[in-house]
Amino acid sequence: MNRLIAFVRRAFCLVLVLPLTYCSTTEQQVDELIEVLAANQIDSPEWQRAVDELALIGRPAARQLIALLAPDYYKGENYREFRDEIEQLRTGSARALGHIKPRAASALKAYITTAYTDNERLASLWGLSELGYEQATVVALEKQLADSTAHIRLHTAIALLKMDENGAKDEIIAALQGEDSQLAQAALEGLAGANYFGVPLLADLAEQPGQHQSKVRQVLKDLNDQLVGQLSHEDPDLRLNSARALGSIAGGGGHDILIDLLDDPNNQVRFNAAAALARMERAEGIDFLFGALQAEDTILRTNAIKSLTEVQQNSAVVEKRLLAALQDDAALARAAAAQILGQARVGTAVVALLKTTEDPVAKVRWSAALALGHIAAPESKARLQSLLNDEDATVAYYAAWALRQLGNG
Amino acid sequence: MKLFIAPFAALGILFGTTANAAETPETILIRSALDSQKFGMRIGNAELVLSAYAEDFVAYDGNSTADPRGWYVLFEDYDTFAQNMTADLQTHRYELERTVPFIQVLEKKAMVTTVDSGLVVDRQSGASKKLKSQSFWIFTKFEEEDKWLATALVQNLGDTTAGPRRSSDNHAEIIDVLQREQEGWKSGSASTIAGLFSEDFIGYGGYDTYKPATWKIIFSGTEDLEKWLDRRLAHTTYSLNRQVVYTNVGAKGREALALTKEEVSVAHNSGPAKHSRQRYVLWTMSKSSGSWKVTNMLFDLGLSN
Repeated sequence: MNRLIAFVRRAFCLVLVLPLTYCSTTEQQVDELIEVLAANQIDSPEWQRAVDELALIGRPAARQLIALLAPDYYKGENYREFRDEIEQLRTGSARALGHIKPRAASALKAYITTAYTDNERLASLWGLSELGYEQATVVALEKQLADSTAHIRLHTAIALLKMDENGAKDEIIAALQGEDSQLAQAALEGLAGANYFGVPLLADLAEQPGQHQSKVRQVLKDLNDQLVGQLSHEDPDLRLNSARALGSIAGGGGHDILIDLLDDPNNQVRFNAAAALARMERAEGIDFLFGALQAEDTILRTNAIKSLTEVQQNSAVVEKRLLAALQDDAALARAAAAQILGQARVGTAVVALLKTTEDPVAKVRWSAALALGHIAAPESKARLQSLLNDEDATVAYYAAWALRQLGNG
Repeated sequence: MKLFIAPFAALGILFGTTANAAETPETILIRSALDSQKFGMRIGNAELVLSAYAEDFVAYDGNSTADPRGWYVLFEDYDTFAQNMTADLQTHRYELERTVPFIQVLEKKAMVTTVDSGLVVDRQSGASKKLKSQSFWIFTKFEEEDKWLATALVQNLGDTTAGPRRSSDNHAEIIDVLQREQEGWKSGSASTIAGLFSEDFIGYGGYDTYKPATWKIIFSGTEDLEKWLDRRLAHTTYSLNRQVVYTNVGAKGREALALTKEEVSVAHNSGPAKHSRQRYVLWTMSKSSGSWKVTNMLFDLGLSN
């Protein structure tokens, strides 16, 4: 009922503007919601409603919410005597700011230390994780990995994961493999809330037997559905990252939309969609990437090499076609295939790559030498030594580099 | 002689006062006031010493304890203080070092701690006595003079709450003020509460410690308090159970201090959460025009019993 009244009141203000006396300012609305936070226990329905409404108000509420976080705020007319009341305000503020994502909310990193309550710290960690990567935040988060509380370490690790920093994923794995069921549940919820960032780890964990395997698979399945929905989002970053994550889910869905995305106006979206399809062994994606290997446009070719390298590293689905591409009519395709096989360190490609070092086109020869250096197979030593005398200086240069990788420089 | 040495030793002579990195123009002015006072003590110049004090200056003796149940009103007015100071400087020389470990400023109010150590020398006999004393000062900025002047001092403050306690004089008028203030909370009347405070009142948060360096000024004047009361009482209902555990009133009946132990709880208009806590509150009061007014109030003083 309260929500209905608030909605009607807001609509009345927006549509009719008058009478002005009835319409509270945004600042007053925020003040009223802050009092609701103070008057209700953390996570109670009314407290959560206040957080949601503050998030709905968005950036106009951010200044007042950020002010609530600072210890110095609680003096003069803002004084509050009770620490648990302040905890309700700070926790609610951090949660709302995580939804609103104003740049100034990076101030939350000051409230993740032991000077604050666990509720305040966890809410601030979550808020920071929603803001995305910032170097200073990562530094502050990494310090909390030494905290004595497992929940703080876990939520710190999840926050780092959401900033594409995977250095603390062992903390998440430990939580899922440990005896503490609450911690394991928190890890699952954290991964579920991490959107595409959590997918590679979840995909790995889904293949590992353990007491939470079925729950992990369920979270992954739910995320799969979420990612498919995000493929049609207007934000190209969300489209490309969702496509990329779908590629790492065994049996991932959204094929038709991914195929449609091969015509996306955004380059990165197209290549990530193609890579995802390739990992799903869909010909549409594989053909797209191999076609781009022959593109005259360096950027397109580089994107294709990068994508195919990732596909090959994660599944050998394109290996045969890469080996075949070493004999393609187009020199650009032969050179690119050699580079991919090298970067993906495909040991079974050594013989073919040695043969490719005899290619009439210098670019193909030095690409093969480079690949042999990456793979560092001892049997390539003799051929690489002979390439030191190649008529093309670049080929000789990369042969010398490759020999150094073999320890024979 | 002891009677005179003790009060002034704490106001000691400042040489080598250290400044910290967080200096502001206001803290520099406060240090300047303390420097003048220190230099006056050193050279026996009472006028220079007294230039650091406001006309409504009050001094309390901390009796070597941080527990206010051992404190008492020492000087109730500037004139008495000045006379004692002048007499003392004629008989004693202060060779003291002073550190100023803590200054906190909020608008026109500031709190300061000083630690004095050194010698108090009898000018006639040359006999000296070692002295080490910690003091808690309250300063006010006087805009017309662009100066910070000391308005209150607790000298001879202890490092711990151990130490001598005094008997409460259970002064009826002080207890009455505190009871009326309590009634104001119960009835939710901001005007009843605010009417009991002096215009220059300062409120502090003690944050459950007895060490002044961890306290914060939370109200700088009655206007600040009134704004808080208006806002707070519009959204909450208070319940307050107050026990007056100590009062001390000066000999002239013009200045007083008190300690209350209370259970305070608050209910909110916007939801069912209730917050409550036990706390000690330290009060100082002045009597003017026949009625007592609260001059300082420190919430959540960290006392164990």
